[in-house]
Amino acid sequence: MKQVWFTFLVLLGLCSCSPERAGNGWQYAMLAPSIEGDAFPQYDRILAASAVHASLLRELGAGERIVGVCDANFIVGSELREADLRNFGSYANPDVEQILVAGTDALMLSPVAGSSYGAFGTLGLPIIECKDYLESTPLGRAEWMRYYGRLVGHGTEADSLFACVCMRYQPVSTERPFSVLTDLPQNGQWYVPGGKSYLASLYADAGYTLPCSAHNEDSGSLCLTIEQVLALGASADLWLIKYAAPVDLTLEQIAREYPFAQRIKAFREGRVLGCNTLRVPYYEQIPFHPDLLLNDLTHNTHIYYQPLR
Amino acid sequence: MANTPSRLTIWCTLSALLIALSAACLYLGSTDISLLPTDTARYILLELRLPALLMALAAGIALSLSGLVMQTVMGNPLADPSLLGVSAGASLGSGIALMTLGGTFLGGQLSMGGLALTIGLSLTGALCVTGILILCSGIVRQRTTLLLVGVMLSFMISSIVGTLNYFASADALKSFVVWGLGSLNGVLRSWALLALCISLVSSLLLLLLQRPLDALLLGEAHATTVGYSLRRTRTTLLFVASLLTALTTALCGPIAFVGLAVPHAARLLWRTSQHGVLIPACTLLGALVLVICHLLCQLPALWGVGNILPLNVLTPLLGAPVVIAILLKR
Repeated sequence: MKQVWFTFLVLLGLCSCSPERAGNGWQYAMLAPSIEGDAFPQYDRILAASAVHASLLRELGAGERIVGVCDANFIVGSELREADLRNFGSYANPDVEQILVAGTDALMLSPVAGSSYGAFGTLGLPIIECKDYLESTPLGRAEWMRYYGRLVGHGTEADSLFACVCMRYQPVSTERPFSVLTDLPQNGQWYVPGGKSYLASLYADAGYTLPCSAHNEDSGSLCLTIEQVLALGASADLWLIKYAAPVDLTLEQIAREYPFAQRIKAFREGRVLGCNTLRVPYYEQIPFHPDLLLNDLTHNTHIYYQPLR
Repeated sequence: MANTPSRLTIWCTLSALLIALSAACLYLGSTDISLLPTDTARYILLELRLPALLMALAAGIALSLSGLVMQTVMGNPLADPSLLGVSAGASLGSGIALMTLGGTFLGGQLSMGGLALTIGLSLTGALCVTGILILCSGIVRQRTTLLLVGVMLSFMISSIVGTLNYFASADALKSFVVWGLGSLNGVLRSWALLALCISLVSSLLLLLLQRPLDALLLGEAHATTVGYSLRRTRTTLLFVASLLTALTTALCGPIAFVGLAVPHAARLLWRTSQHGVLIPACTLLGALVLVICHLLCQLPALWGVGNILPLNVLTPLLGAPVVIAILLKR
């Protein structure tokens, strides 16, 4: 009975995904390679350089194909930690000898525009370019799982998982959207999501507006001054702060370190949510499960963003 | 000679320029405050722009004086506040705060986080290096040896900072890189005011030490011959210069070139090597240079063509031509 329900939900999910991009088998992804046809190389021993891709492969049931990761010490998710994956060193300076000795047959790497693959490039191994982070929509990025799934012989599972993500990712329409301020300044510089960025798109789907980048067309982040943020976002209804610290941030700490916080409506009214990325597997889960963050934001489940005290 | 402006003209012109540009710093920014509600505009003016201006004045004065003293004490025209490892010490402190502690420290009753922790540890790092230098200054006889000790310290610390960089998370690394680019924004008004007071008091203190500084220009042997205790003078001067560097680096990040270029520019403008003139000259010119840099950093945001620039993008652009001109003139 469960299988029938699952198949029904998958079909419902696939039907509810309105196609935005015809051809190449994609519905949302704009930058991914074609997934049409059956001629996909299969890899059995993959180095998933980032935890996000290792996490996805495990979820697709291809965990045994992961030969190792880079920067394993930064893995936050408990399942991935318990998997005790082999660490091949830093992404910037990997242990190439160990990668070869381990019998790796492909490298999953996220390229940075204009730069080479450094030491990875010297190995002569096939490189799976993980450009999903360049997508500007949450579902566009998540859809890359269908491509990765096919490379490890789990295309069907990937299609099903993506259909579930699509089904659960239900944008909210509201007459009066919540205005949201994001993060904290660093040395006087305040990075906020660009108006056409992945995060701006996700927040818009959650019924939020970003007053600081309302008229911005950038797909990356935007560097503002504190005074610009105060001028544009002092009346924000909600403040979402993503940070990485060994101890959780408190409202008292924000008030002490950032006196301007008192000028922000969300802070005065106690509507400040924090996501400590050293404790919550935000970066590992959200890229391929934007539905989880959307649900967190729209239903206040506080799995990722928790109220600061 | 007839075309050379008199010192009075230079003093008056630069002072007027400093006042005008300081006013411009308060008036101009990345937002048009005339369009904002009064209380927000007032807050931006008094709590954001004024502290940045005070910090620009303080950092300019501190780094220029520090550079001047370093160049005289070391007998090296290319000496600057970062040469002896004081800035590196501050970088190490900041690196520990941002990359090892993740911006938060909890120990017993003591809890520190964010900017306060970064500033506190940067200052501690810089003062530790200052302590080592002063200890060495009492041991070594030749200033070249002291210079080499400082340079070696700087390399050692840079190596540790490199290791911290290597093992840091992407977020922590970004925070450290942003800190290293230097910024006058984000400093509290009380801290900026304190920094300015310390800079001005140091300027007065150095004026009291102008004679031994002048004597050192003619060499350590000469300074000893005319009756100055070399070790005591050197230790005092090093302490003042290092303290000024430590303070500035902790509050604004390492600011390049100002300490190297401004003393030379002051010598060129005032056409003297006498510290009685150079100390106030560096005080004025250093403040002016940093205020100009601060204003220029705001321009892209002001014109709506981009974001504010980090300080260290501009200071070498302005400072390097001065140093090249001096090197070519030699």
